[in-house]
Amino acid sequence: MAVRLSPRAKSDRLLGTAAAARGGRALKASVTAPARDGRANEALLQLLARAWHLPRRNLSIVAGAASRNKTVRVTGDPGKLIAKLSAEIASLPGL
Amino acid sequence: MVRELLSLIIAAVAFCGSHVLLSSTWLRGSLRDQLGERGFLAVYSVTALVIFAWFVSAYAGAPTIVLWPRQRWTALVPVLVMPLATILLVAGYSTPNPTAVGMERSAGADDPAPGLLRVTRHPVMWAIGLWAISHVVANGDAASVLFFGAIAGLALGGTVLIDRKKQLALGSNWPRLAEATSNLPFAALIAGRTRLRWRDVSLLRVAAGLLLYAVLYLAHPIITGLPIVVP
Repeated sequence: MAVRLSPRAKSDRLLGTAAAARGGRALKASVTAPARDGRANEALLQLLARAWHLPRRNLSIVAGAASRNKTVRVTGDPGKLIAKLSAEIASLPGL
Repeated sequence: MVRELLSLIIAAVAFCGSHVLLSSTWLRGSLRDQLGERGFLAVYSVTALVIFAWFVSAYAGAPTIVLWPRQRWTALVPVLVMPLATILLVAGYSTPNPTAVGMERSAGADDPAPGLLRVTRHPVMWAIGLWAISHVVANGDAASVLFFGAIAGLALGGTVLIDRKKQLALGSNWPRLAEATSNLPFAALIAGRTRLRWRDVSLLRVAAGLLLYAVLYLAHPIITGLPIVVP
């Protein structure tokens, strides 16, 4: 999943979806943690786990750990995950 | 929420149930008669270890359901409480304790409650309890309440069950121990029933406890896979 993350924001929040830099769409999220020592990355993964009721260990950053544009891997039962995450993401505003 | 967490709930019940069943019911006496004291302790230890491993894996695989938001103060609770827990843990394992398994004889010593036993006569149980409760506060999700809550309940409820058994096992030595100590940390000291003797506590134990704290703090990402995050 493509994510565009804003660190040092006012709140930990999923903002919506927006056109991604490399085509397709990306999830936009903000976290209060600063982008240092992996703190913003960890805050993002915890935000996603909490928002989607997933175990934190099922989420990891596979690309863009040092960039605002990240790729997050979500593991689990594909059928259930796709249905659940499509519904969650569809409920977010397009930006 | 119950359905999402069902496997963790089952593991929590098995974890608490197996401990209480093996330590505090007729099953203990029956197994000890058949297997002997050492055989019984071996069965107890293996059972506890296997079920705990299952409990940990059920917790790691449980969904994250937020009950209260993470804040700076909730995240700081374990950071501040854990030094006391690690000092109690080190002291608990390095001080002869009449309430520990197989240590009943030390209740007959001149001082039945040396060192930090005067803070609490159940230092290891309180170390586990403080660890668990502080992590419930910091995590604030339903799975953590079940996992750490069950551990805290068992550890701290266990102190009452252990006291009951030791009262019988120690006989006339029990009142001496009970008078010089308390279950609740610092209660006997605050009530003035006992005094800390720093020579018995030994600075080495305190230093080793703080060293253990530092190691656990730094190794937290390696041990648990999660860094310590204070917002």
